[in-house]
Amino acid sequence: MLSSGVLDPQATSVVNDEITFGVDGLIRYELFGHELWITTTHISLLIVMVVIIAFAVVANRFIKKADPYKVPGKFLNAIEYLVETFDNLTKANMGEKHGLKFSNYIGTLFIFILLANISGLFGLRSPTADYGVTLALALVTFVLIHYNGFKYQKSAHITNLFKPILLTPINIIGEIATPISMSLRLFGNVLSGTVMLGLVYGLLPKAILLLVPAPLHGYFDVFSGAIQTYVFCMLTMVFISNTFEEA
Amino acid sequence: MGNLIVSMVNSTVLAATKETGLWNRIFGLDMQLLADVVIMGLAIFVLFLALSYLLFNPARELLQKRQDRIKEEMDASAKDKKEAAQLKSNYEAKIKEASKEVDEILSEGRKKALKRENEIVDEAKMEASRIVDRANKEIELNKSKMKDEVKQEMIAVASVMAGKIIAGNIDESKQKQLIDEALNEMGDETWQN
Amino acid sequence: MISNEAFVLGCSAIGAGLAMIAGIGPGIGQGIAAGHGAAAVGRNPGARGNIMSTMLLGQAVAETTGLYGFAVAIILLFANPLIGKL
Repeated sequence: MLSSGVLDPQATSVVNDEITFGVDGLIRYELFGHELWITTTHISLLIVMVVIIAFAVVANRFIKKADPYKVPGKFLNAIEYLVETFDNLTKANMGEKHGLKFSNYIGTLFIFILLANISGLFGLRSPTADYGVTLALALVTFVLIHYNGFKYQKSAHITNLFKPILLTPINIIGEIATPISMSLRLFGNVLSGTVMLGLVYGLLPKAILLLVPAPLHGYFDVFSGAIQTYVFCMLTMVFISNTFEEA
Repeated sequence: MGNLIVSMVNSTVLAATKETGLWNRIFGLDMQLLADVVIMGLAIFVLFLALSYLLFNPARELLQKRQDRIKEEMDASAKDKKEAAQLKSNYEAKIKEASKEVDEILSEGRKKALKRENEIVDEAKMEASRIVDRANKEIELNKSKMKDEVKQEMIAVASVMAGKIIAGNIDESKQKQLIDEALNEMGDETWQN
Repeated sequence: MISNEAFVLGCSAIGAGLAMIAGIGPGIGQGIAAGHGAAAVGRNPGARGNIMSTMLLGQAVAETTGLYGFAVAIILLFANPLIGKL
């Protein structure tokens, strides 16, 4: 659990001797002979997903009830603003022609990563501080990049790798580095926040803990989380839209 | 699959993990990472479908509907405006035409009146001149008649007077001739004035 | 004498510390990017939004090397592959 040293009622010493900010295993299962765990990451992931889907269900009910011939209410306005923002963002970054197709995915990505990053505020261990999560997101981007590359550039998508011929290895490494750097960027930023907060929670006396972590949470969870969310979505859009140019 | 379920049933929550030592890690490149990636991939796919179905697509539809409606209304109002403008220009043209007609009528009437006036004045002048002419002629006639009468009277008076003065030696015809000569010598102007 | 494990762990800790030197580069780079971003906003305040997003994107990309160093440090500290080699 998150900094279990702090949450442990048995701990009476001023400085906690146990500092944890890793992923804890909760349930052990075996698959194809490998020992695997259901971890705190999955619990946080489930909670974030439930929150998002609950929001979506509520929003859906509002939208279904809404009459297009009437002035929308506040909540409906907010939903429309959200959707329009994603539409405009994708259109601005990927062009009018292709932008709208990716609006749903970018919106999903944005909402998920943002909530996952700021879930540290609510005492969860951020799902994005687990490399398995960010790698999956980056791999989805990787698949999207190359799917669209083959779709719009056909065989030129492959032959571009060998142009100029001397730079072939660098081109290939560059392609492979894209998802790795994207996933490591998000993972590293969120994990560094988690590590810093874990150290603060573990090392400081409890009396000080009432005040000190608030601005740190504000910076690491909210500010850094929002910026990394934006950066991840922007990079996804930029990488995908690079493939639209006809070879 | 059966193996998985059995193992999941057998595994106990947290207590079991405490027995074997707390499983804790930050980073590792192993099967656990692969499993996490698969789970997260499924999760983001489910989220994508759910959000698309529940939130994005209906919201976009609603926005589209509202956009269509507003566009419709704007088109209708633009059409109305255009019609009104056309109507207005029509009326203006009509008013202009009417005023032009009025001008024409007025100027024609004025012209006619002027012409009629001239005619009347001319007629009156002609009538007047005719009247004056007739009056002049009458006056002339009367004058000559009076002249003749006065002449006859004077001749008679003169012959009577001459006969009384020189009775005897001159006969009547000679006497008349003498008087006429005398009168002619004097001229018309002399006695008329 | 130092045991083999202790030696590897100690060297790993030193290696992790050295790996974090990679944080210098992104720090300088991000600072330069932020400085130029501030200058650009000063020159053209109307384009603030575009400048901000471009700057953040550039900083995020520049941060990559630092994060590679961070990843190496984390691996050395918490998922040490060298212990297994003993």
